[in-house]
Amino acid sequence: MQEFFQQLVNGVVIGGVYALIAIGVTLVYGLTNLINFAHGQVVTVGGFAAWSAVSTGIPFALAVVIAALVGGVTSLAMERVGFRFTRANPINGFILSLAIIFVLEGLLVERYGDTLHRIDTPLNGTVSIGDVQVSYQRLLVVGVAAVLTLALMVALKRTKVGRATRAYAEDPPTAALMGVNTNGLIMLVFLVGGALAGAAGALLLSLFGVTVTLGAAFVVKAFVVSLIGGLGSVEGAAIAGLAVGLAETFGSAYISSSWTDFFGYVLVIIVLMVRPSGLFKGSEGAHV
Amino acid sequence: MSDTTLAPVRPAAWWRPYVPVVVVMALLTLLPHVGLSNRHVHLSVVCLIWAMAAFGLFVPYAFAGQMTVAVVTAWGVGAFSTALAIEYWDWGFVPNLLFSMAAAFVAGALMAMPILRTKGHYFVIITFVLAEAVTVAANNWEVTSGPGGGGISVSQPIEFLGFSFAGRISMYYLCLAAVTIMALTVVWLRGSRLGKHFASIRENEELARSIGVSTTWLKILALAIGGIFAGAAGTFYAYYLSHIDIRGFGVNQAITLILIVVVGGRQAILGPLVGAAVAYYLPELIQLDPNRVLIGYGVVLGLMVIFLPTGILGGLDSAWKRWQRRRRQPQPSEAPLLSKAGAS
Amino acid sequence: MLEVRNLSKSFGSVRALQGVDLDVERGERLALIGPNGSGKTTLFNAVSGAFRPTSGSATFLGTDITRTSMERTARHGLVRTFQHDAVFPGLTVAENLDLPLLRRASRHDIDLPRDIDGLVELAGLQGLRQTVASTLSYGNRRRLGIAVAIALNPVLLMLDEPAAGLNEKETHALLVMLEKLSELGVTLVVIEHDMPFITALCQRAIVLNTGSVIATGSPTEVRQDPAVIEAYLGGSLADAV
Repeated sequence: MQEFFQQLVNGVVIGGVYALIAIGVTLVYGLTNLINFAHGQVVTVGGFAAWSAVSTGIPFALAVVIAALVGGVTSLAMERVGFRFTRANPINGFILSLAIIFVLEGLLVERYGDTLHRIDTPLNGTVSIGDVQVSYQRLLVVGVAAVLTLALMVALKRTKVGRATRAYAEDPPTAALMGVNTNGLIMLVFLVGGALAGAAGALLLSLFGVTVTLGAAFVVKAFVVSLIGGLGSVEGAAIAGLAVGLAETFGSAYISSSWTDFFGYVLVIIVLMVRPSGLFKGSEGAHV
Repeated sequence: MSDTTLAPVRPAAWWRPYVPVVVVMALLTLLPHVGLSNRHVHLSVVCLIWAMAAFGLFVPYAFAGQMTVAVVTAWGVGAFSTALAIEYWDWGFVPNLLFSMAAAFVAGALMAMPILRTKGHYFVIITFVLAEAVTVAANNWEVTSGPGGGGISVSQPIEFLGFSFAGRISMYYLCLAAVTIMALTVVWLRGSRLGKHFASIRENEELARSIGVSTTWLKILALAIGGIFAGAAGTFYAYYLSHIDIRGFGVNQAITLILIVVVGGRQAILGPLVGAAVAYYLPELIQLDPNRVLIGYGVVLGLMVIFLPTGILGGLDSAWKRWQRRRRQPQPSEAPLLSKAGAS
Repeated sequence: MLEVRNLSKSFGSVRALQGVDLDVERGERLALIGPNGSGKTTLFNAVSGAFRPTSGSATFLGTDITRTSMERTARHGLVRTFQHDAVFPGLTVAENLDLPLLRRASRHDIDLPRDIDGLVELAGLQGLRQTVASTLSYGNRRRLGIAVAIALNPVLLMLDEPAAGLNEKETHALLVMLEKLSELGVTLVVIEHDMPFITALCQRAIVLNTGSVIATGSPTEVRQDPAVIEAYLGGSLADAV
């Protein structure tokens, strides 16, 4: 039983990280129909930014903020320099995102080499919840992921900008007619999604350390999570993130750990067979 | 340069689209004789094999408009089919080739099935997931991961029609022949009734449906046919490189294949060949370290997509057409320039 | 030839169509009109197979087409056109017509042109055979889209706002083409807002509002129907005379 709860915690931790990364992917797709696989690089960049910050003595909490800022700027830059020009043809945007992966990964290897970069665990010690020992660090990760996700969901529902985003995702022409600044919205979504991904990178640094291939490993999962949750739906990404995290953790613990990644893949195939649009109604984005 | 747009051919000139392919391929037979180093001949063979695999993406993407990452998986299926057939059943070249093509066709068709349940762009994501999933599965299966996870070796040369294609140069000619056959087949396919159906899906899928075209099944067929080409590429890959590894058929290779098709030209039959040449000769000429090559690939692909989406051959074709129009009708505003240049 | 019975379509909680009954007679020229959001396009899409109705039925030439896909419906002889994205943009006019001609159905009662030249002439696109479709003018593109549809030799042609955005000259060219089609035996159902166009082309009109049929009759009759005038919020119909 203790083992079960231990895995449960692990699943929630990794699931929270998946959710953070997936939100950026799903929001961007929902608004622009763009499949941005370069989002994974934003995670890596954020992770390395956090590592560099901590290496120069900056406290971890601040490093997370820095990672979020760097991630946001990187993501926004991708949009301004590249994706802005492929809006009319999202598949070209997809190809462009693949090109960006190569460029960013190459640049990161130039700068950091291909070894694992770690930091000392920022938050030491564990707490006992029932029979289970949970490290404070893991709690922190879950906490940060949950707070950021909930904050975003609230922002989408309550703020003017959030409502405009949802309106544009639902019905782009009408929203544009009503004066919604579509360009600004798209940039904002890239910025916010990138910030969340950057923060996720910092969190991953604290848990496992970062390598230049970190993003590549996580971006496929992010898309799996987005598909399961329904492309365009933030709630879907949050719930699906947890689902995939749990599926992987339990599958890895009770079935086989060399098949870890596979459990998420199986889950997405099953979900799509039953509900082709994913669990939640997302949006079809700019494509009416 | 003759017309490389996708026009149906009028009966009188049915042979015209084949001409560029035949001419270029004939010229390429001279390549080993122009004093290239061994390394360059080797690169040329690798180039040709990548071009074959790129045809596996060209058919579904350039013809039917269906992008896929899973072409790399079909390529891997082809390579492993040949390697395993040699290892377990000691088959010869022709049975291996046919087996690989058939296995990759089936793999391509199976991986295309999600089209039945997904809409539009979702499928592209699924192909990415499928490629990753198969990689994980293959890594866990001793048959494909090889002894100690180190891959599988193929130590036989190709024996075909009484010849043994053991050396670099003989492999070059064999691969050149294979690419020629593939390119000619693709030309034929483009002008065929099936090819026109594919084009309609690419150009306007909903309109195609409204005129009775079963777009879903045809997309699956396009992907499966692409599989055949990728599978054949796998056979040559296994024989020539003598060692295959699951890591050789992953997402990085898929991105390279996409680069090859896009950079070469999405509307030109010889695009895969031109793209493969850029991908493999250019780094050689510029002498970059592998990491810089990666960055270079990314930059080239990115710039192509934004500024020259029709690729090198497409860009040349447009430039040719613009030049021809100018020659026929000089614009009044250009007259001063022309007289400056001395043209009438 | 087309019988629609009690057709309904809901999108979530939005009831786009509510129990629509409709009959289309062979050879007629029927207009489907109504304010924006009245369900005209939804009816079109449900009948032509773009999506499935929530309930009700549609029968075409004796075959139940309620749940058939757009591809299969087209093969039965019911073909629809599109208001936007009506052609194969990267192909020339001739290439646009090539594939549908290959898929042409042979019928004993309808015999539309069977070759590219005949279709080009019918559509008034002479001299544009080798022009790439995306470079055509709006009006030419519209007529090409219709030509693509009729290359299949359809029995019933459903046109989605064919005159939208066309100038007077283009509208007239369109009218001429559709009248020729009607003479050749094709049954026409047209969604349109352009009242003079409807009045000139169609013998009968059906008016939809908020998903239900509110009037039917000749174009002149429905124009004067009080319920119809009210639906249009008193004015645009009368202005369009």
